[in-house]
Amino acid sequence: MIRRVYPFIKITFLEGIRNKIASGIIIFSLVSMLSNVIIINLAAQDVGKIAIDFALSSFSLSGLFLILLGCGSSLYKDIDRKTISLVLSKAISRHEYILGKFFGYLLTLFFVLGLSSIIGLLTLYFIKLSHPKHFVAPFSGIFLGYIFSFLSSILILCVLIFFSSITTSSFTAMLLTIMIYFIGNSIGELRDFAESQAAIQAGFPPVFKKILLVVHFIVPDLAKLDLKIFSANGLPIPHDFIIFSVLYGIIYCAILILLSMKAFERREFV
Amino acid sequence: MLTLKSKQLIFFKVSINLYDVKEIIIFDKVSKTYNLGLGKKNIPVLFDISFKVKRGEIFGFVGPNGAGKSTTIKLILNLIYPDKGDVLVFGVKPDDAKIRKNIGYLPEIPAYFDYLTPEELAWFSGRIAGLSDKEIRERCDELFSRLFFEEHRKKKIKELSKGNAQKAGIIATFLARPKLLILDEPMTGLDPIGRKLVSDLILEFKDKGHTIFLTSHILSDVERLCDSFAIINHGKIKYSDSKDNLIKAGRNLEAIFYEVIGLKNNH
Repeated sequence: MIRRVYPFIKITFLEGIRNKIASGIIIFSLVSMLSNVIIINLAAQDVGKIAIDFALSSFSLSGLFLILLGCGSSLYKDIDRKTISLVLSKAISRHEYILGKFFGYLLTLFFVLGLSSIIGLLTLYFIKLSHPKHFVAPFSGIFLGYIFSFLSSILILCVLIFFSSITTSSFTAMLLTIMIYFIGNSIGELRDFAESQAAIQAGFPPVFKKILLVVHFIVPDLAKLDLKIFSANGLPIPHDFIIFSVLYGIIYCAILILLSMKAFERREFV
Repeated sequence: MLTLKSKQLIFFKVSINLYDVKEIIIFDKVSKTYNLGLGKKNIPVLFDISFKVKRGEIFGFVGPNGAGKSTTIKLILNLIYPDKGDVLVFGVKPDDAKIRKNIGYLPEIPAYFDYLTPEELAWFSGRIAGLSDKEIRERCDELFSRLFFEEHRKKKIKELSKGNAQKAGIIATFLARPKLLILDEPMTGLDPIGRKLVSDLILEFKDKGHTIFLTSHILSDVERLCDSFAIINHGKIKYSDSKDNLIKAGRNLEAIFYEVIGLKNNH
């Protein structure tokens, strides 16, 4: 099957990296890393922590922009401008279309965010050289932080593909994806608060607690893939946390892709 | 459980259907209504339409805007599904992606991949149809030169004019030499030279036994190129006949078209 889908993966990737958004993301990475160098010179202490936190946040934002503006606009062209008819009129099944899009975008993310992470890591290395006393975090933890942020981007990509497969407008799909991104980043903390003693003492209604539990079950908990605190503070990352988070991410992505395939199966392209 | 022998028999049967059927497209009492979602009115588009496209012929499918031509094409390509009736392509329902290896589709509006070059679009079509890179290169050389399109080969499609984007689509459609070509307004945006080149290409493919389903608003083109025609209006087939019968009756397609849609053609 991969042999059959390969041409579609390749053109999706070519479209992705030639899109102006891709070069815009690289420029954004360069500018934000330049800002990083300037900002840490203003900081009196915690130089390493601030620099790593800034670098990983900017990387995470690059991923979100690339998915929403790059992959989102490409999906817009496919669905709203009906390029999809051209693809589905060929010997590509609807399942293969979803897989082709996913792997094509995945390669695009890998290429663009790969370059972006190299820019970030080189900048952090430069900062470490210029502030050796205030930069104690090991690069292995920072590297892992980048990998997990990349995983988080893949998850958001799957959310976008899923919403594109069930909505008729790509704009709606993008809005829903942004919503999930923000909820996903805070749902873990909200659930933890709802289950805490502080919430009980503050009279937090049990109904809200139940609602939060349900939402936490449905919406991806992006905090599970956020290693900024570990990376920036140079803290050791527990192995079971890594394994659990990676499995969580992969399983969630697989479920979303399978659901997208199912939704696409009987969809009509009017 | 199917035994290997019965699986082979089914495969054999499908193979026979695909390549030996006399009627490449069959529409049998097909109806379609678009359901546009909650709070929106359903739009009936096709009403019990039936027609057949024979192997090796050029079938002209004409009608005014909104008559149901694009819906018919979408049903052939399995982009939408019939509410009632049967659609058969190569003797089977069009939901099997493999049969589309034998179909080339040229859309009415050339919405291709903006950042690809015409050569890459052709490569995509060729590879999906199972051609090797060498075959694609050779056929590209032939088609790009035939359509005088060499200079645009490596330009991005979004940089091309509408007519040139149409040519890029035509090359991608014809490259794999599919047994069935579905050409939705193939002459749109083309200059007279382009129209002549594409007409020649269509006739050449017909001579080689390919089947062509053609829609066009240029009735003279349809009459000149096609072996049989159907006129659709308000979702119903209003007229269907062969070119031979048309000639025998001493009539022309344009006159019949205006008659069928209820317009007087005084000039």
